[in-house]
Amino acid sequence: MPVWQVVLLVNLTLAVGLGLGYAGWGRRADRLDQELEATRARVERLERERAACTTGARAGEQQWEARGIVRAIFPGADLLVITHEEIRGFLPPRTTSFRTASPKIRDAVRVGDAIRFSLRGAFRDATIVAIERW
Amino acid sequence: MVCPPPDYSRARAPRPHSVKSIAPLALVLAVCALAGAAAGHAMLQRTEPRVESRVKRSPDEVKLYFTEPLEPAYSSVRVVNDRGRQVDRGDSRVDRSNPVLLRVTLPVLPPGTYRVRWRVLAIDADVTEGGFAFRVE
Amino acid sequence: MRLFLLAASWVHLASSVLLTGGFFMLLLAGNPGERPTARRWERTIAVYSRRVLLVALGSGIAWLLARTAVFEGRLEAALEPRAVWHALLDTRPGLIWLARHGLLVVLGAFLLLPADVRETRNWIASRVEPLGLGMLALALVSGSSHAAGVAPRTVLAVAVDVAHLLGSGIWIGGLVPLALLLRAASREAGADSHLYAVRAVRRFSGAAFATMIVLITSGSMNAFVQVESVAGLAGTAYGHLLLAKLSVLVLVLVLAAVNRVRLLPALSRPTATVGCPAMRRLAAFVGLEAVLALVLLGLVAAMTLTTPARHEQPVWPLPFRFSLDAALDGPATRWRALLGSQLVLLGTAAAIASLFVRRRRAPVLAGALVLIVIGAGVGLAPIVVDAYPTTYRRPPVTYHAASITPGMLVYREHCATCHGATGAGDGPSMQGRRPPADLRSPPVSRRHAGEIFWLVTHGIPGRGMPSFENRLSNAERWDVINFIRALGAAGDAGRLGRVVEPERPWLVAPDFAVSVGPLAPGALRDYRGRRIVLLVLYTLPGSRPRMTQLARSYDLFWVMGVEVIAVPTDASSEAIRELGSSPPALFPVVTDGALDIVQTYRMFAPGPHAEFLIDRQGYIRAIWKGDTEAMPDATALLGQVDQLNEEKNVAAFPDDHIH
Repeated sequence: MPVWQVVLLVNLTLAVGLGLGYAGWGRRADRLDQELEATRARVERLERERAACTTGARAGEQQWEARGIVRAIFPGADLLVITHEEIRGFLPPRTTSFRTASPKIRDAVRVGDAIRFSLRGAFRDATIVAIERW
Repeated sequence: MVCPPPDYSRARAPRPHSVKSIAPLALVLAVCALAGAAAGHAMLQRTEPRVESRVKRSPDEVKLYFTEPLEPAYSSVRVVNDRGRQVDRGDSRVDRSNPVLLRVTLPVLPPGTYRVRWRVLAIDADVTEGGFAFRVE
Repeated sequence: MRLFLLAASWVHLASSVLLTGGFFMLLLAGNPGERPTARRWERTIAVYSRRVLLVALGSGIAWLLARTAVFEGRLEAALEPRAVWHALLDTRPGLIWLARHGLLVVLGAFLLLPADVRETRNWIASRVEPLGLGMLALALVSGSSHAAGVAPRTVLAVAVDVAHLLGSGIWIGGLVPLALLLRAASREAGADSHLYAVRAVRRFSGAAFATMIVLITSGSMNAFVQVESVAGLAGTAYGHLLLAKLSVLVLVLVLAAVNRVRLLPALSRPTATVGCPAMRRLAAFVGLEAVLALVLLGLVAAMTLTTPARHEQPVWPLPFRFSLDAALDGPATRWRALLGSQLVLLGTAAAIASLFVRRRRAPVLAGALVLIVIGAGVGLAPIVVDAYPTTYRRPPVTYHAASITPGMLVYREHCATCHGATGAGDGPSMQGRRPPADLRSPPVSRRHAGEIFWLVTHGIPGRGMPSFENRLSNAERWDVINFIRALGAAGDAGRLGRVVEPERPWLVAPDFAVSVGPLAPGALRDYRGRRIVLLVLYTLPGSRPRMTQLARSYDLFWVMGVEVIAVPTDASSEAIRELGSSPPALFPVVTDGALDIVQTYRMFAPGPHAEFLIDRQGYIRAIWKGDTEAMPDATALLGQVDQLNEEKNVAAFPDDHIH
């Protein structure tokens, strides 16, 4: 075969091979990464639902454990305002208001206390079900 | 035997020997100094907890920010106590979303001095290592 | 091991370059036609290329094994197949190695093909393909070079590096085949290819000139990024290697200039006896150029194994340095510097002019040199200042309240006796002696942090300052220097008023840790680029009305992009409880490490209550001092915030470390 045809063949093979290989492998690696992330998040969510179930929650509710500092108490609305760390699968570190499940919980703390608390519910309706000193 | 006289019918006219060919070369000489192969090794830029700092509460994790992106396959960090025993959770990794960040998580540490030892491979295929200390009070 | 790595790296780089250049030269010289000498030369180059390719592959494998040993940190790893496999497939440099050597193997297979090159198409194809593969393999070196580690603008850095590599491949690699051609054609038996050789060398000369421009531009861009400063050039191993490379390069260029200007035209001069010896001489000079260029490649290989200057602490080798700032100290020095610079310019102009003058060149050049020397003597003297090995060292600790406050304590204990409580040089031990410089004044602020570090470490024997090397640890000395910088800044802070001024911000806010209760601490630095910070130093009960005001308006501030950080001056850990809950104060209140913050920021505004408005870049833009004035109400404060939000020219983030 004339040299110039060999050259063309070699270049074409290289280009196609490299291009396909990069595209194929790269995309596969990306897809695997995404699937891994999604699976990890799903496992964590299932863990939380299981934890909620064992303490007598309804189906579909999750349970989170978190730590923070009490900043304000509003007895009339059953509200506690807490500056908390990241609550994995729920909130980044910030100051949020939460409803308490019962007045007993709310009465046990004062402004400025460092607490560990458990949240149970479905995202928007998560309420504090337990508090203890940190 | 003498070399046959060259055939000048096809040769170009000789270049005039003048300053015009020296001046560009002089310029070349002046600026050429700066030709250099780029070289990069990853060096530590900042850390949390800060180098030689005293912290009141045992930190949850140690984060190290480097000057260059790291190769996950050969970059690791360990934390040892003052007796040389490893105290971290062994999950040192390059952060997936930030290739200059190397992190490892810690359990609750008792008060004392701790040394962080790191060894990283940068994209330019060279290894750097180092360490620093911090105190938990 | 590093020596082995260096040798493998050098041989591999050199052989890749020679491979590329060989085929480039074959293409450039053109079809030899029926000339027997030229055709013999082409065959020699083909055989030589095959050998060089084998060397490249072999040294590449040696490089890979050496690298595996370095990655793993053990010598034996070089011989363990598992370790080599891991290094090859799981790292970016490994994958790039794989790609490059795959290309070289394809190149080798192509060279082994028996080729019928009588047709022009085939002749061109059989040269262009190896050249293309070789250039691609050479260009891929950048993928795992240091240019790939530059961020941001990685693509630009890599493209510049690729241009540099390809340029050197063409130029350095072409020198050896060219020398071989010239030598073959300069013999009596080679007279048939004489013109062929002359044409080849002319073309190469032109191509080399263009390539040289590319090499210079790309090299300068590379160096500006990696070396960054004169200190890096003179004070680091990388900088020294660069200077060595420059000197070799100068020799090579002188040779190239001689070749181009003297020997090349000699080839075509119409005297029959000059033709052949001139070509032989040219061949020798080109060969010498090639040898020097290969030495240069060795220096390049060494540079790729060295930390770049921008990441290393430079050690200044000279006892003096030039400082343009020093020239602005007084009118006398300014005039001297001006006069000196004008003389130097005049002398340089005369020197350039002497190049164009033909008749009286020598005296004009001599006069020009005299002018330059006098100008340098006059103008340089005021800008020459003392320098020490640590002058360009960057502090290992950042400009942080946790460093400034310990520095303040060290200063009070060790330095205040001579330098005075405020740094003015009026300490009790200085009675009757010449006072030291005011630590807050511009000459001291202008000194590099590393200079002050040297003076504190070794003292100034002539002026009576003791050495603190044995009395203070390294960290303590750097803390004191952070404190001195803060002292100077605080002295100038009086210029900042109650109102944000829209000029360039200059007062850097010392970083500090924001620790609210037992939660993971953040830092002021975390707000960079995100939120404006209002730092409030307060004392109860005097500040309570103000804190209530802030608590009520907090959500408004938040929406406007302001975070309020409250620091109690009594550093109480019950601060949140003490602030109370009517109304609840929901902004961060620092309960740990408040003392550091209070003592540092009190340098800028003393008194029981002070507020600082810090912009998104980390600069203090307004200070309100509670002991002398009332605090601005929400509307006034928001007006200032509006001004900050609307600024168009945003300043760069300040450096974490002082200079």
